[in-house]
Amino acid sequence: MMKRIYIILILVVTFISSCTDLDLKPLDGAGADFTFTDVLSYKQYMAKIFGAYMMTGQDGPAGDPDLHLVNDEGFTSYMRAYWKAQQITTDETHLTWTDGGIQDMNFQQWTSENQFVRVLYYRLALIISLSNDFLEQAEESKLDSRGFNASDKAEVIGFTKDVRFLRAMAYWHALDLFRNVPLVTKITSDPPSQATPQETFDFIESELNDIEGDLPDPQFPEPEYGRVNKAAVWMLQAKLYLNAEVYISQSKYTECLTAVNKVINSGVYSLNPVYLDNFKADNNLSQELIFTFNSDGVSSQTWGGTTFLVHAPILTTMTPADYGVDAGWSGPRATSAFVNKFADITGATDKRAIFVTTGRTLELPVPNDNASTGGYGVPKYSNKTSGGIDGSNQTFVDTDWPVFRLADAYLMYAEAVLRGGSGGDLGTALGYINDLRFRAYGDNSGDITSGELNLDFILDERSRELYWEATRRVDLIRYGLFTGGSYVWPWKGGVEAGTSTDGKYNVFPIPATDLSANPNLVQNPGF
Amino acid sequence: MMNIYSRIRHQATASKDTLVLLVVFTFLLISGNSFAQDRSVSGKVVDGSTGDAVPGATVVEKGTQNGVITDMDGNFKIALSDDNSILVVSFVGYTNKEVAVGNQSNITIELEEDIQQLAEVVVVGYGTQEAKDVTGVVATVKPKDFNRGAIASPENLMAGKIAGVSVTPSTEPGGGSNIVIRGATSLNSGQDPLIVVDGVILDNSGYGGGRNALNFINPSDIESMTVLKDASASAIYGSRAAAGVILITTKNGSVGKTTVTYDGYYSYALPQKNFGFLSPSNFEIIVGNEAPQVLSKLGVPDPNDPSNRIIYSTNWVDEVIQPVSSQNHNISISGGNEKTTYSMSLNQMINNGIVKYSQNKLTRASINISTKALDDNLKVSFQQRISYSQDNFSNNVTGTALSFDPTKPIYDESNTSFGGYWEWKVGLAPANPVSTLEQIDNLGENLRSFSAVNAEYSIPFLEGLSVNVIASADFRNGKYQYFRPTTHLSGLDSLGYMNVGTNLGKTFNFEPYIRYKTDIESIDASLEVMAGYSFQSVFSSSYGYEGNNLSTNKFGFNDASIIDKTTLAPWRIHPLENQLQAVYGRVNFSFKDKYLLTSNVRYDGSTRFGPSNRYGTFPSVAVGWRMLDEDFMTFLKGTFTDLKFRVGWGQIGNQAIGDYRYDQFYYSSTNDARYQFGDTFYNMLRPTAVDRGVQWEVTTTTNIGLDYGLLNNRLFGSLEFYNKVTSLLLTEVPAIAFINVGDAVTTNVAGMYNRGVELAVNGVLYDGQDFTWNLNTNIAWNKNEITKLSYGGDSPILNRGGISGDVGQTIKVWKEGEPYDAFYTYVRDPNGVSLSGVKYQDVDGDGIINENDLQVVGKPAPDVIIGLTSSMTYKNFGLDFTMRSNIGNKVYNNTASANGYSEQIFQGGILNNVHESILETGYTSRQLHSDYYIENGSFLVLDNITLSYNYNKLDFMDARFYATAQNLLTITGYSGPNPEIAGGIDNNLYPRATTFIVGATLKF
Repeated sequence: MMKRIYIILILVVTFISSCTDLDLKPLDGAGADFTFTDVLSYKQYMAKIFGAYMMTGQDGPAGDPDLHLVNDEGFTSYMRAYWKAQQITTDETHLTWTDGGIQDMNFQQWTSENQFVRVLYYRLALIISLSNDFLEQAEESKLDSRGFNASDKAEVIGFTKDVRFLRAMAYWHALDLFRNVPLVTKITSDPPSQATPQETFDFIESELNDIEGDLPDPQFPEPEYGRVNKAAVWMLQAKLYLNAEVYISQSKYTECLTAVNKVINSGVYSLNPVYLDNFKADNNLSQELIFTFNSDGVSSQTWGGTTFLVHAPILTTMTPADYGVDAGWSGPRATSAFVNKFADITGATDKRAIFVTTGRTLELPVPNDNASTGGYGVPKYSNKTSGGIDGSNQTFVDTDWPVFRLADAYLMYAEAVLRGGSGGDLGTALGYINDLRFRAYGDNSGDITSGELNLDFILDERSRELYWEATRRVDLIRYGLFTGGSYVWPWKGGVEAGTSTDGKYNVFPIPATDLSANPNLVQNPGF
Repeated sequence: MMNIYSRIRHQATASKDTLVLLVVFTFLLISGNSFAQDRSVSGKVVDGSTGDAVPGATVVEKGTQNGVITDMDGNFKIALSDDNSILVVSFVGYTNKEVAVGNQSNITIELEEDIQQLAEVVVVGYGTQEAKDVTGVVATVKPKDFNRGAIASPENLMAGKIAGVSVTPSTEPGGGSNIVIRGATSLNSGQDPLIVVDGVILDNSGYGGGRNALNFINPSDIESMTVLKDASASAIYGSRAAAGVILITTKNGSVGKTTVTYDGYYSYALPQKNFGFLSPSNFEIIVGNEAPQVLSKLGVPDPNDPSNRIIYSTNWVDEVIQPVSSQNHNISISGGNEKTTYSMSLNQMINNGIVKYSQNKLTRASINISTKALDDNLKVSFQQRISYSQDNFSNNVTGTALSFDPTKPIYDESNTSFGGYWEWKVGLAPANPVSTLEQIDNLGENLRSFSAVNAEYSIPFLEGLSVNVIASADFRNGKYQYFRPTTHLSGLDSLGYMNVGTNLGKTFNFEPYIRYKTDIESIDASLEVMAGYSFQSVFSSSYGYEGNNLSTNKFGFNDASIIDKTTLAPWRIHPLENQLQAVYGRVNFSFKDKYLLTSNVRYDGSTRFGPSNRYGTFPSVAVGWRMLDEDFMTFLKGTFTDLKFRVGWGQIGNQAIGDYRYDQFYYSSTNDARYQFGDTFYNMLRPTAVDRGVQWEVTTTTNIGLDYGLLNNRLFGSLEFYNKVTSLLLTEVPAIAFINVGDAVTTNVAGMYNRGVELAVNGVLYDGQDFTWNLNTNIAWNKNEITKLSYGGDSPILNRGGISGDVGQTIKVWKEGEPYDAFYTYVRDPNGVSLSGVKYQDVDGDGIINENDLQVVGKPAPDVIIGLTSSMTYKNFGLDFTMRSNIGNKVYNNTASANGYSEQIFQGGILNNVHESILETGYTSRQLHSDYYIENGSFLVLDNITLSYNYNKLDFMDARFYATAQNLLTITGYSGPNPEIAGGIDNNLYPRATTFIVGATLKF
């Protein structure tokens, strides 16, 4: 009998001792308090917010994506999607791929279901949310409770300035691309409503003003290449103010000039004597670049970012090895409208005309054939160094993404002056433009006269100088030429000759997926 | 006289029946004799059909408590109180038999196998139940009904056997099946049914390096497979039972002499290859017609005369898909005595695939031992299974072979840098498929060890009470090796590539429970109560390394040092760890053997949910009414032998989401995803996007059923109506942007239902002396609809189902009011708007064809599933076959859509073969979203047909010889080779084979 009771007792004890509270914690990750214990952890979180503009996830080049609503991880690189939004919708670029939604981008026919629109929107929202979470984690009270000493605290607070810049830039993109977006600046669980463009504009403006003084002055070389300095803030201010009429129907050209003047007068930046060296594997050495998103073929692998920008424009008639990579993706090519911006397309005079014409035709009769020989090649970006040496990896590139460079500051200066801003003059503007022309031509043969300097010339010169740098859509909208019928180019509106399009396409629609998730949102007009 | 006459007649015809008649004769002799000399009788109990001894049978003197149990040889001896005593003999699986003893001192009693399903014992969760008492929807398949053929994996044994259970067998060697029970229950989580082996809940997390985690169970070790289809049956497994439960019971030895069984076969697989691509000669013609400007690219330059070209005629498909033979050898030994029984098996199975070099090789060993102790009150069963699988995953190059230019040669000896294979070496041109097969190693192996103990202790001082413990340890250790030599073309060049990884999975279970069973005679009722606790812990991790720029090809993947150090990258999958614990209970109550009640409840906790949502309660209740036993139903008794009406209701849960989705955690990036500041690269920290309120998904099932038996149970089966409503569906949905650190979170927003009818009809069509014919059919109709997908905003349209032909394209959709995974395409309309030359319906009338014009045009799930199994015997011959049919399912022919347009003839700078649909459509550019490619996928397939012969004239051996054909015949309107595709996207799938098998089973 005792034996039986023992057996039952043993079973009961086993039963009770086996109960657990089921409170497991991740083995290779942790909650915030356990994660943010030193300066390095904050720096790694800041690195994520920078990286979120270029890379697609936590495992290079793919495998642990940030975004899940798009089928292919490579598509979810912000820079890749932003580049498409700014280029293939315009007169500069046509993309022959047939991935769902690409042709709709070429044709200005996108919908709220377009997967590339989704990438733009959710990437920006992600960058903003990560920034808000970072700023919460970096609040002084948190740093105190996590036992940070004064110097560590100061360093982390320094990071918050970079993060606020990245957040302001994301909001500028959101304002530009979607116009009516939620303005969320703190972690919350409440479904947000959309802010007015004015509110978003004011927020960006005040954030930039707020952090400007705390950020380091520009220098060359930078003590920590890739971080944010005052000049990056000035460039972003200039962009915001130059397009203020589009966003809030107010002209801010004077403010634009103020910012541009600070960049130019800092004396740190100068035009790179070799134009294309700004777009090469060692472009971090270029004194013309004001702010970059960094790329590395070994340590920052992604199928988006500049890896996309080098591979994709290599067409079937081109040799990938010439650009330091192992393959071409046979994608974007020049429209004839863009080629014709150059009087001489051979590059003999204006060296910025780098078209690959051999075996190719100027026009593109079929919009969606990758192998087509229609459309000239534009190998602007390369994974070779200025010295002609291959980057560290032939699949993933070392080339940094030039977000802002001095040439754009010159062009903005001239345009703001022509549009009536004060703080500049036409003579200086002509000088800046002719500096660009001098570099392009190698001598004064391309110089223009003050009589030739007008807004139309600036738009064309922006195309010749800044082509394929993801600024074209913004420029055409500012000039009122992006949609409508006053300016058409091949395949605009879905026909080869080009046709008028609806003005609603000046902004992108809020993705249908967010309208389903957040009942407080209102779709942009017309979509 | 008459008796003697009968006996002689039967001796002359069938020796098997001799014994039957002997017994009848004996009875007559007994009844005719009134002497009673002895108060005890000895005898033997045997199986009426085989004559084998039946050990363990109960022999009771009728009307008394006096009883004995037969020994190992079926013998018994019993003292009797009376000359007129009647013996009642019973044993599980046989009908009870009453025998008048009379003056006999030694009698042989034959038991007849119980053909009536009613007396069967059914395995249910945590125990067994007599079929007549079952109130839930439970269906069992036994070995005699299993599918025949070259079957590596257990689940394939029951394809087509159970109403409402769709099993789509894999076409790959040793591949697993896609199992759907009563329609898709969940969205992207927990679609697979729960599998329970001898009471142990399986978890296959961390399985890798093989094609199918379930292959560790040798199909010939299986005693039965039982499916719990509705919540009233499966709620006892609460947390993971939403998609249904499959209970696998393995064989154990029986008391008696040691039996050694050898089973082996040889099989020959012929590929089914009607892919519909142009023959080499037709290809030349179509190039001439559609792309005459590239005629000069046909063939290759003649080395002797550069102005001339040599045009080859290469059938690439024949080069990569070939007939192949396989074999299987299985030895099992079983036996035991009254204390201990055992069963052991050793199996070697080589499954060769029709894609050249693809293989699955299984070595499996198992041992089951059961023993009794403590006055037979403690019964302990132990099982150990070891399986070692080796897979050659042979890159499936079917797609490349179909489109590769047929005018090119396979080999080009001058092309030494690419291994002597002919290659395009242009742009993104694919590599020669033969080179891919012959040069790339893509191998896996997995060693799985599964150990389980089941102990049952019947408490001697309280009759009916037993304490049970199930404990198990399951280890899965896999390895994966990929090697691409530098001589294989990749991109424009090749630098070689290697990827080696390993994974480990561990699962531990501990489940103590008690059972109490008693008869409440005062009210003519019986009661069974069960209660228990369950704990399961699962861990898995996976990591490896990859790299390229290999310095040599000599040593393959065995030497990691050949990787260029700058490209060497370690990789890992986040380790997975989760635990579940539960308490559960069940009450079975039977009143007057007519009114039945079963109620289950399980209180389940999972580490996957936050503290406030960690536990869920999953109740069920079901009632049964054995109508035929009512007095007012006696008028039916002539026709019906069984009639049971059942109603069940229950709720079950689902927690099949990733770990730690209830709180925000920060994880670091890998070293190839770092960001650079200055000269330093920083790993990036990312928080997870979560819904902190995530909780259990709940499926509520209501089932109304009727079990029937007619004509002395020659016709029997069941009819079921069910409504299965899933709410709080766990799925990844768009997160509210700007407040979440991701675009999607896993949460409980969606809803879905499945409604259906199932009918099973089993008939004994003929039961003669020489000829028998049994026919089992089942038919099930199911309707599925997603009812909810959003938290309150607009109804979202979530794209699903990636297809080939372009990057990032999808063909399916989740949409409210539509079936799960519906196909979503443009609809052709001659009056519509043109998109790249084809006119489609402009749904929103904006003059543009874009995403807003996509429409739902069917779904991959069938409306109706039919299974039919026929089993005939004539003397020693047997003919068995199983047919399966799906009706109403659609297939997206992605092979046609990705290759059926004329621009493809010369695209990417190379010539490509095209799909013959081009001759009908005339499409010039790719129309991936045309509804042209949505085809009716309804089919009828003759899954297997077997002719067998039993040879039992030898004393020492029974032999069975058989010939089987698998997939011999398919009737379908689908244009591709195989319409039976889980998920419905026909996209470079592993082709199906028709397999011929000859085999033998020898029993010693």
